[in-house]
Amino acid sequence: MDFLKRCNGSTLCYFTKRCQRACFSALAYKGLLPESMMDLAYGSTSHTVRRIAPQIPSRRSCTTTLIQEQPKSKRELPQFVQQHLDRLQLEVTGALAGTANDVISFGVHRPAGAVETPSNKISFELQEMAKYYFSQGGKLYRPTVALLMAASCSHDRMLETVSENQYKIAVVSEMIHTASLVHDDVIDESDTRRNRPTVNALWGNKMAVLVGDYILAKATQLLCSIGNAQVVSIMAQIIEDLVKGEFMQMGVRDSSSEARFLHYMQKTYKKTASLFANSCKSVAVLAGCNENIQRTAFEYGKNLGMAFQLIDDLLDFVAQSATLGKPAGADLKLGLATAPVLFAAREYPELDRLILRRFSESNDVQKAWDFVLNSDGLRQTRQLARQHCEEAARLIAFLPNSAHFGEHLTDLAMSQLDREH
Amino acid sequence: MLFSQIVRRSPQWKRAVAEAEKLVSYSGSYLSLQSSLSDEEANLALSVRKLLGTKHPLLQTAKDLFYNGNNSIQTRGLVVLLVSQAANDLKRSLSGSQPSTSAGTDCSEKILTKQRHLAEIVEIVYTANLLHRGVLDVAQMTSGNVEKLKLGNKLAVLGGDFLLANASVALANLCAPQVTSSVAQGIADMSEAEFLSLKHPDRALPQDLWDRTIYLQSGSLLAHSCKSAILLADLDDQSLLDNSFTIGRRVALIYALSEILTTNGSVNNKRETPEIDMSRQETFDWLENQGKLAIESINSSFPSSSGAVRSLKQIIRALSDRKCLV
Repeated sequence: MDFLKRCNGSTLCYFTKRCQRACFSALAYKGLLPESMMDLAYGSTSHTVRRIAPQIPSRRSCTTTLIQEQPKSKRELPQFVQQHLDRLQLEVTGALAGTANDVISFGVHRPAGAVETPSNKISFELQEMAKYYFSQGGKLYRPTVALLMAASCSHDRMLETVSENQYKIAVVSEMIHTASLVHDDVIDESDTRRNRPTVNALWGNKMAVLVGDYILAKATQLLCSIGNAQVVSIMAQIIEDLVKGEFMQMGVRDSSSEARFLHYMQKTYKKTASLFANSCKSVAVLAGCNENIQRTAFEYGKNLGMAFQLIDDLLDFVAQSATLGKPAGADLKLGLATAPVLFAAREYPELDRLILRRFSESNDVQKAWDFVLNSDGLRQTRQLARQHCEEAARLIAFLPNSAHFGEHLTDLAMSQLDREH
Repeated sequence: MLFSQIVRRSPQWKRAVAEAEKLVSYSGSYLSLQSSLSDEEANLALSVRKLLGTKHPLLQTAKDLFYNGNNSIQTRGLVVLLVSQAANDLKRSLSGSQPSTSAGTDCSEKILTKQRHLAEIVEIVYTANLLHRGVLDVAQMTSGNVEKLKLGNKLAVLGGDFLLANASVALANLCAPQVTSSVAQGIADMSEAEFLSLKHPDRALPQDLWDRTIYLQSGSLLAHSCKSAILLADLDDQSLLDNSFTIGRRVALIYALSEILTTNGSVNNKRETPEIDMSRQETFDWLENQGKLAIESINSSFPSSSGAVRSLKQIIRALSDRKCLV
């Protein structure tokens, strides 16, 4: 029987025609099946399966989980959250272009007549570059988390309350994230992101770096306009963590596998989870919550962020490039040993040497790839991610307004496991 | 780079700077805010050595910073400290006590810790910007070891980010959102400066464009920092704030003009100061005028009995007085 390597985010194997049909149905629903193969969704033939089946994995990497016949219906976000997200994109692009609007005005007093120069308009190229990622219709995942957490921390149980300041936190988190993406693409020498050219591919490295600085500076101003020194400190911590995380990623230690794993988890916290955690904590502070609730919000964000990154690292091995928007196997090519690799190294000590030399010799990447797919690493990574998702979900009950919005936060947490990109 | 320019500074300038440094107990180093470098960060600093033999801008910058000191960056920190001290003197004179005049008095009272941190933050931000402006584009990696140049880029970006992150945290710890916002505007403007010179990559800039470029590149941050120094002194009179802003802006302009003139109009390193499309005479006139205006601004707001005020005026004169230029 032929195996299909992946479908719907999990590693699967199909022993029966029923399973194959279910898989093709799901692919068709998600628009991933070409027209010519639509009939496969309703009746398959084995030779067609063989033709389209990607690289055949070994038996060990398959699980026998069947996917559902119908994909899970996604719970819709509350309307007020969706409204905030819609305006977010528009307002940020406007603000970065220098046109003032109600909320995002960055509030800096420019003394009259102090600048005796002809035009204060921000240069066109800078505007274009700064807006580039924001106008691409990204997932806005981080703002969504911040907004839902804000609603869940509200003490006004009947009202859908997200204050303007909490909305600003959502915006700031997305801006910080974007600035870090711009710099990461320069450091990693990436040409594509979300299936489009990167800022550095279009405009050069130096300009990309400066645009990243610009976005970060604007984010800082927006943060300051909230006028809460504690929140400014909390969010500034994210910026420091992002850089430290990037530094941690550059170094490989010659130490035990446990130490290496701890290093990976700490780096993951700094590079990814910190932003979620501190944004959640900030909105909790702004909601006037006590320290316990603040800590709960922080821990929710942290666990969510850890799960998010673990799944990202998993998808780098199992997803197809088109879905991801960037080349798969990118981490290995950058010399990074992520969770699947680290787990696999416990079974295959030969991987250690490859890890230490950051997969730099020819064929290292391919060898490491094969090791991972032949190991239990992917399953263990998913298991670890699940633990974090469940921990996040567990914490929701302690939030003040969880009765109204808790289910959305639970969805956010658990849906990590279903992600395809 | 600026190393060669330091040598050409006049004796008046050196004297003025030395006296000012003594007055404000200037340690000349911003590394006190970065007291703990982790393993990775220390490794990174050492990694810069791998760039030896390449022409990556980062190598030159690192040499200038760590072996020669970077004169223009330190001057800006010094100016912020002087303005801080002047502001504190003003505050004291407004509340009836005497301003501090001699260098012998306990210097630590004359400048608040927060203001010292502000000066350090300003230096860190200028340094970060310098590092980031030294990132190479792929098209520029024509000669030499491309792998090493790519490493140089990574180090430049990360190094600059590291400094900016430190600055952000330090700014947040000032617990003065208005100050943080001001400095952030300075950072945003510095990023924008490079885009202006995109239009005229190799030619000298016309005066108005040059003026705006210099404002964005260095004037804005210095102006906002001087204003912030006043805010940290707990003074909030709007005309005082505006005036301090103007002083900072003028000093940066004066500094840039004097750089152009002391190197006879040919600047080796285009990263620092672009060339201006003006005759030498016109440039002198403009510089002298700015110097006079700057001193007027200082006199209109700050007590002349303040040692810091005198010191600041001395520095401005050393930069802008025709007789002092070599």
